[in-house]
Amino acid sequence: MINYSLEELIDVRKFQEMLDSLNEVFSLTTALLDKESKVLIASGWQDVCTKYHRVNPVIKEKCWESDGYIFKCLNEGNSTVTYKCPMGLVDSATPVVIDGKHVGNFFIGQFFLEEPDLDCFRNQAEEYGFDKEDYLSAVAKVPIFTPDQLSRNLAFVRNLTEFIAEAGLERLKIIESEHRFQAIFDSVNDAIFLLDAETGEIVGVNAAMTDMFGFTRDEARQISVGTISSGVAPFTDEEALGHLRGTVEGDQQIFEWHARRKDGVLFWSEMSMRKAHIASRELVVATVRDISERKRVEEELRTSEYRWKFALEGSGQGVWDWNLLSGEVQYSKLYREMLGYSEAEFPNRLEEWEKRVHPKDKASALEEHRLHFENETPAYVTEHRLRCKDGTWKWVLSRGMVFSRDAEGKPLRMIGTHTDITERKSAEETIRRLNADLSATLQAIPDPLYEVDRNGTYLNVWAQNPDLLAQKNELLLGRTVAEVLAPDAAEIALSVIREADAKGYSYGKVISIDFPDGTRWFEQSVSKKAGTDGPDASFIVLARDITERRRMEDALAAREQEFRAMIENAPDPIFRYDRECNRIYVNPATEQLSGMPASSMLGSTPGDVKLLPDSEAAKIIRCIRQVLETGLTTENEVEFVAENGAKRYFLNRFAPECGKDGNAASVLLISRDITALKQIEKELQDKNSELERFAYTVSHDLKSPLITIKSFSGSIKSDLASGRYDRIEKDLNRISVAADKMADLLDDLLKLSRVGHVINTPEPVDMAKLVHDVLKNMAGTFKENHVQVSVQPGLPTVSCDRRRIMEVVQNLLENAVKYRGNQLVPCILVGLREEAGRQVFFVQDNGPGIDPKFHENIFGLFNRLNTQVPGTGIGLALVKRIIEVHGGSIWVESDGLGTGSTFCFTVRG
Amino acid sequence: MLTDEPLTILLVEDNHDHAELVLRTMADFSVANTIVHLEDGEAALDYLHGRGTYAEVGHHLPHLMLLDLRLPKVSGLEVLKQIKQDRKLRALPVVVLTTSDAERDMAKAYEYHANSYLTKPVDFCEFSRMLKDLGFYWLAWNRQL
Repeated sequence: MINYSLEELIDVRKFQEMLDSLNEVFSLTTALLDKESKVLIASGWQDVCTKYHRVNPVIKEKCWESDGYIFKCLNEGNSTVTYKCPMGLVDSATPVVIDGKHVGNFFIGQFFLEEPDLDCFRNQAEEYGFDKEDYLSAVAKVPIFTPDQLSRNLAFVRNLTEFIAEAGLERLKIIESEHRFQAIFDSVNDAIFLLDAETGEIVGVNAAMTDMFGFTRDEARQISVGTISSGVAPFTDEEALGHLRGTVEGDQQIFEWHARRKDGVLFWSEMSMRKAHIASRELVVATVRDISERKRVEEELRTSEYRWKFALEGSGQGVWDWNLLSGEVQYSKLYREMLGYSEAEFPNRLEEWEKRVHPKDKASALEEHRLHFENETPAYVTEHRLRCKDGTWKWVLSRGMVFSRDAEGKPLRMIGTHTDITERKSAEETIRRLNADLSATLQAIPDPLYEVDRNGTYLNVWAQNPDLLAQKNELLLGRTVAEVLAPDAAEIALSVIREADAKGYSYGKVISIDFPDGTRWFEQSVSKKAGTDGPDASFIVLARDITERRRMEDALAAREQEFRAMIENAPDPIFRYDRECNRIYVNPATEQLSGMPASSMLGSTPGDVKLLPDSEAAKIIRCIRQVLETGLTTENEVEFVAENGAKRYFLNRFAPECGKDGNAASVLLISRDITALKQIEKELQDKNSELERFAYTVSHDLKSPLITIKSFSGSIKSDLASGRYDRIEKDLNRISVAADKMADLLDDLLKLSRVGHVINTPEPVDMAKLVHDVLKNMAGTFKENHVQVSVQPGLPTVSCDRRRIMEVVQNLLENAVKYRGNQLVPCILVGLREEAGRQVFFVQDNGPGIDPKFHENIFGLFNRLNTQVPGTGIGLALVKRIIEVHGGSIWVESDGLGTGSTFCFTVRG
Repeated sequence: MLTDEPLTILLVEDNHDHAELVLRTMADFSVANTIVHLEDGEAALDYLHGRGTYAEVGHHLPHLMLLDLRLPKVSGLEVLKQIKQDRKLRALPVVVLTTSDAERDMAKAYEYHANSYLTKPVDFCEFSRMLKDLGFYWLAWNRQL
């Protein structure tokens, strides 16, 4: 127990406040004094004492005596002392004892126990010269306690004293414990920091810290952990805070730290951090131990080991150094590089190696460890796979040896090397796999396989299906092909061996072997075995059973022949195109039609050989492509002008020929000549449109005279009714002319309608004679109209329908007369001229001529230029019809009004 | 139009008999002061434009035109089309008067903006009445407005 003063034990200020309140309520004067009679607290002293007694030099002495008496009583162990002072006032006191020690006294101040004897006080006033009035009023303020009141007050005081005693004791114990703690704290050799768990702020350090780091305690509270660190990563403020947090969240942290003294000197330390709950505060206690010396020794050791490890690494081997006690393994740089890891990814722990050993290799490697640890083997040697960072596996050869053991022979440290043997392993693996593949392949081949020498002696036989062997397997070995096969088959077999001996291989020769159920064919594929030559050469023979294939081929060939016969004899041209639109087949009908041999048409596209104009060839190519794309048949039509100048039409049908994949592999084009059909179609079309035109015009032109007839009849009727006769005759004439015109029209229409189908077989007609006959018929007309007609001599003979051509000539001559205009000397010339190899007949007049814009119109049905001259409007339409039926053409030449006209026509057919 | 201006009708008709019927009817009802009769489409266009044979006579714009469709040289439809495309001529009322009752002729005529399309009736009385109505409508009635 240490010594302490009352002042240290109580909170003087608070206690004073408490007593002041007490005084206010009960006028209770109190005081607390320590053992040296120093007044610590005084509350509510009576004026009678403070203003009169204790200031009077004589009475003061008495007061002190009184105090002394009370102290003396208390110090003698009396618990409570009640004392009446010489001046008549009463005090009561009780000692303050804490933990058995009397440390001070508590006073209850002046009061009376009975009504004061005022005379006595009056006397005292006189005796000491006080103002009587004032003195007495001060006395009146002093409380009077009954004994009962006093005893309660004293009980209260006792309790208060106890309270003070307990509070003082508690504080005392804490102070004592703090003193003890500080003593231990300061006696430790390691530097200790108390850190705020939250902020890392230094809240306390011990004496050793001031020695180790050179800071005073006060300075230490001003610095951060960073100040006492080297500051070079990872020894930074940041890192230290990391450790701090780790400690707060979890367990104790122990780590090496590169620390800095106040004077800047750096040293190695080992830091240990631990959580602590001190005085309601979360703290971290960091203990720092100087390990400079240990580090130096370690460094020396490392340097020497580094030398030999470096040497090993130089030879391409990774090094591992296993501390069996701690489980720590030092893996060298090359060790990790071999597997592609950085130091952080592959820390120095045995588990890191165990994690990466191939599951299949792990057991044997661990077994090797055990054998060596137990001295069963002189050294540890295994081959195992390790997983690299990139996920691949690497084969390593691991060799090691224990080089320190404890007294019981248990291994403490083992050192070894790693050599990368992946390449060797992979080569071994390749060979193993190739062998496996080869034997699997041989097993999988359904065809018999032989090895023979150059004489045809069977050296080896592999056969999945023994039924395909000429003899039983065991009967073949050692015998030659000549002994086993029929003579012709043996001859072929030997020839292929000779061929393979020379070239290295032989493919495609077929031999036949007779089996009980029929002949089978085998295709021989022979290859000379690598690395064998001369008399020792041997050959691998694969005999493929192609019997089925041959049967199919034969059937196919028969079908092909049937098909070919059909196509070759088809009357329509047939082509086959490949996927590039090249002709790969044409049938004889095509050759006939084009006049070209098949060879000149094959291998080219539709446009290449000029069978068709480009536009039509393009149409064909489009269709072929369409069929190739869609796999559906299609059709089109093409037209072209044949060599003889006639237009021809073909209907083409395109059909896909599907290959194995179901897509169109080629396209078959069957072409049908539809020229005749087209011609009929066209004629029908022409006829139809002509018929329509005809009906339209006929209805109009026949209606015209009808209107005339009916209307004038009506007019005559009304004239007759009104007695108007002057124009009746004229009107009747109109009716008559109109009726005639109708008759003419009907007549001409009949003629026209006949032209199309009533035409006689063409015959050679002498045109000179024909013209002559026409002129003879028309002699009257010419004479009547004073027309001079001349005919070119030497008109040729042409093949035509005589009657119709006569009608043509006559019609043209009649027109020339009819439309001569007011020409005084009308002349007509009938002649022939050669034009572009054609014979052009013409009828030329010197009439008014025809404006070129009407040259086309005039040949139309009922198209009339001049209505002054009577006519039906059918004449030239009829002429044109006749000429067209003959396959010729007709036109008019005239430079316009006043130049005359020349009607020209050609006759063909 | 001024009421005292002489009225002119242009008749384009290649059939003399039909022309006579028109002329006769018009005279009976004294619809117009003057009827100019031309026989083909070319002449009609020349007359309206005052060109060719009519160059000296000058430009004439009749008050009404009666136009047959089947005409020599230039067809009635072509004449109609040219009139209605010409800014100076298109105000001229053109009445197509034809034997054709073909649908396509009528459609074409109206497409080229004919003012009326009439099929010549076979009966004389009907013909007369029709022309009379026509004359009144296009000349007399319109003039009063």
